[in-house]
Amino acid sequence: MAGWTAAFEKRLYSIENFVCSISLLVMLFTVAFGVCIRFFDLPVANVAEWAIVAMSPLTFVGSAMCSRMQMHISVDFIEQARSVLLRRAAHLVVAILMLAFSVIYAWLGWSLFDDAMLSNERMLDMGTPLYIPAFFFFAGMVFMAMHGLFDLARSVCFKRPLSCAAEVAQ
Amino acid sequence: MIVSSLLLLLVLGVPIAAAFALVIIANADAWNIDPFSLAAMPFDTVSNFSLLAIPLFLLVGELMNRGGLVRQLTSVCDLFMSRIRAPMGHIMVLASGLMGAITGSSVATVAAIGGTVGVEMRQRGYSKGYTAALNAASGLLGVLIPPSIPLILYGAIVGVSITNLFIASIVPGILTIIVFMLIHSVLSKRVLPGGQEVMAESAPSPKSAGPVRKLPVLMRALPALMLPVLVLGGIYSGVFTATEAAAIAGIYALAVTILSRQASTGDLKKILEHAALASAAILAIIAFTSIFNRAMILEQVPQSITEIATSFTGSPILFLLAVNVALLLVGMFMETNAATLLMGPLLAPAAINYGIDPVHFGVMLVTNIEIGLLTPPLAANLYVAQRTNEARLTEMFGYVMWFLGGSLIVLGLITFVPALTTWYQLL
Amino acid sequence: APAGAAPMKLRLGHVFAINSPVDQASQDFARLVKERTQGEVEITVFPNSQIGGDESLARDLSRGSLDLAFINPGSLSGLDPLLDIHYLPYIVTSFDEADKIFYNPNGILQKTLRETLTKHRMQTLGFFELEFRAVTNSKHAVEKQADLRGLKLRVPGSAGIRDFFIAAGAQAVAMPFPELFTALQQGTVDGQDNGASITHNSRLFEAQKFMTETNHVYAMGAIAASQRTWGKFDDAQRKILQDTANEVAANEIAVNRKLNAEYMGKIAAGGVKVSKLSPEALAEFRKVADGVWTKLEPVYGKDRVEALRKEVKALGR
Ligand code: NA
Ligand code: NA
Repeated sequence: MAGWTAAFEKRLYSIENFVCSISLLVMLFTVAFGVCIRFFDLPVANVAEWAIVAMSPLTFVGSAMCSRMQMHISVDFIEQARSVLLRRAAHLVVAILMLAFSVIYAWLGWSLFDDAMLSNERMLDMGTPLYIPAFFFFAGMVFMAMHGLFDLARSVCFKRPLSCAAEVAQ
Repeated sequence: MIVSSLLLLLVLGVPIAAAFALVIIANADAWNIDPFSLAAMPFDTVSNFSLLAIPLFLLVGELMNRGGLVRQLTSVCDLFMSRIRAPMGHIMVLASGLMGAITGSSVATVAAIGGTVGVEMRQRGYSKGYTAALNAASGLLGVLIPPSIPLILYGAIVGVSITNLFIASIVPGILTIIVFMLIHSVLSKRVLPGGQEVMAESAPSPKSAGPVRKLPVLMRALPALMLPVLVLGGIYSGVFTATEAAAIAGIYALAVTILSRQASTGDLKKILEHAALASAAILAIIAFTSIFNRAMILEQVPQSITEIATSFTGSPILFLLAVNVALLLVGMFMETNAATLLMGPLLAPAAINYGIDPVHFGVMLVTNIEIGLLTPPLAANLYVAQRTNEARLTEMFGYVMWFLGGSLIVLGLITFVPALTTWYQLL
Repeated sequence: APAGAAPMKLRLGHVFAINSPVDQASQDFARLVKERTQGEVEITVFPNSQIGGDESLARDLSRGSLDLAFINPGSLSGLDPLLDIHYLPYIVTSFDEADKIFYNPNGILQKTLRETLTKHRMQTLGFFELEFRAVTNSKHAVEKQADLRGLKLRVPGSAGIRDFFIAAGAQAVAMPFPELFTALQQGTVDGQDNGASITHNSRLFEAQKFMTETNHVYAMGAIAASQRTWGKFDDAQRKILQDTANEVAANEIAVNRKLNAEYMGKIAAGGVKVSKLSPEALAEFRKVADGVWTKLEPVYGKDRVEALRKEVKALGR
């Protein structure tokens, strides 16, 4: 539990960040281009379909980013508690539940991806296969499970949870 | 049982998205929910064109902040609102109303205004908690000012004129603006040190700004002032839809930011990272709470609540009160569009039997359900505002109560003074 | 099933409005099946997209996580391109013709849809009526092909419909249905091509000035069961479900046609100028449609398109 894990998580995070940033740019440009297609009656299929595809990586891979940065939205009741022990205990329970959640969803995400591969269902405008966004669901949940595992380890070792909010906030 | 385990998980600090999902996963067998649906529902829910407005407006907010557009806009506001005490809060309410005329979504409104006006408010001495609470509450205007997605849904499923619904919701929308501005006037005395906003050093002193000083400020703010013109003009001239407007605004803000050299490539990366984190935190909640919504529908929970509410025979007033309470309950746990789709057809026929105008009832129902955006455990506006203003939920609650109270007063007026909505019949 | 066994509790989903003809048919179906199986099979209906749109209903049926659905196969061409073969333009132009081609169990349309749904693990129990599609817009009356030129029309994501309007000179615009009302109101698009019931029930006519009963597509829905659920029934139950489906479908078709005329009346009363195509204009549109059929032969299969041509020819119009 030392340097290599931190380096690994950082690396993982930068991949996630790259995927999500690209997703945002895809949304921005394809939706705007969709307006141009309609306005100028361009003979191009509706590329805004990719914006919908990009919602999946942004949501699910982005959830993994939130796990790493401890930036999921939650009720911060316990954090106000005075007892350090209580806060640590709560953190441990949360870490276990988050790991369970992401492992279950990694498995469910795989079944969704697998099913989309089998049915080969496609989207209507550009014919994008549904397994592409489904894959990002699966991948996001796997990344989230990895962060969950490290977080659990930190929690068990009584390390302070990463408070990265400050790190991004600058 | 379900509710208590959900509350326990939330109080422990389990992220909201995971808490809702875990409760359903634990009970999936008993409720005969197939594991496949547990995966398909979150996925289908976010694979939705209309939801694009949320990440796009969050990105616009980040761009406008870093690109200096927000500062330009607020400096203009200062010129014209210098006589008013605590103007930024009023600006937040009004800007949310303006945003409401652009989008039909409450959450998108919170995202856009929180990332822009919210930032400026905090710099002027408002606490994060107060800023977030005002931001969350004003977000209701996204729906209360037409166009409004829930009203379109209600009109289509109940079979009443959507145009009339839009017109009927104008007065309630303005009423909400007035009530929120009044609450802000009262609360700002308490929240701000000395009751006055702290002015940024670079800002021009508003008191001394004569007509001569106004022109350069306006000129400098031209790129920022063009943005609402571009967006509103584009929508109302039919060049793009409200969802697309988010992308057009984003491209514009990006272009201004790059051309004015306000941001380096590194800054742009940070902007994208911030927007991605904020979007994912919110979209995860929307995605994973959808399975909780579905479970409630499959178990027919809202239907049972409706049965109880409509069993109060007799006076229409008792009926309306019962409906108010039932919708507040449903609003605590259900996403607003799903709740409108479900409760509209369940309740409207009974309302019509009581002789209540279906348009009046629709505006009331949607306002009622929208208030659910401020009531935990599922309170999207609070969560988005918390994220965009970097506040804690516990810092927000005390102030949210005030605005919740204000919304309930407006709801009471809409419910029991039909003339506020039915004046459309005079047209 | 053994007497006194616990009832099979099934779920049925559809996207149609509460109390619409299809919803009534689904409620009748649930009630009759319960009566006829002496309570062995209990069906709860979830109308109005409460448990998902057509695409997710189909996915759920296919996976076995939903038991029954009244679906619109025309929305499922993403799952299989064959599922909107009946959206080829101008297969029929009257209810009479529709009865002969669409409701012929041995015809190529039902055969293709049934086989394709089976391939995706859905059992087809019957077919019901959706509507003839029409053209509405806010610019001018569409009376001949030339009137379509340059009109921005929102169309669904179906090759047959999209290619027809493009070939006819209109601009086919893709847009999600929930965005449509505001888009029509603000002029982002000029028009759309749903028929009387959707144009009326979704209040689209409020934002439109002209409606033409072009009848370019006749849409038909399917009553489908998940094969996983279907495998759990005994023969007697299967027969009951099958017969009941046919019965409620036949009933729905009659009710729907009566309502269609009513909706057209209400749309006209709402200030929309309603018109029909002249025989010459119809011939003009049919010619455009014929080109689309040829163009889409690779999608639907040359043999299927050929078989359909034969069936249409046999109508002797
Ligand atoms: Na609005
Ligand atoms: Na709520």
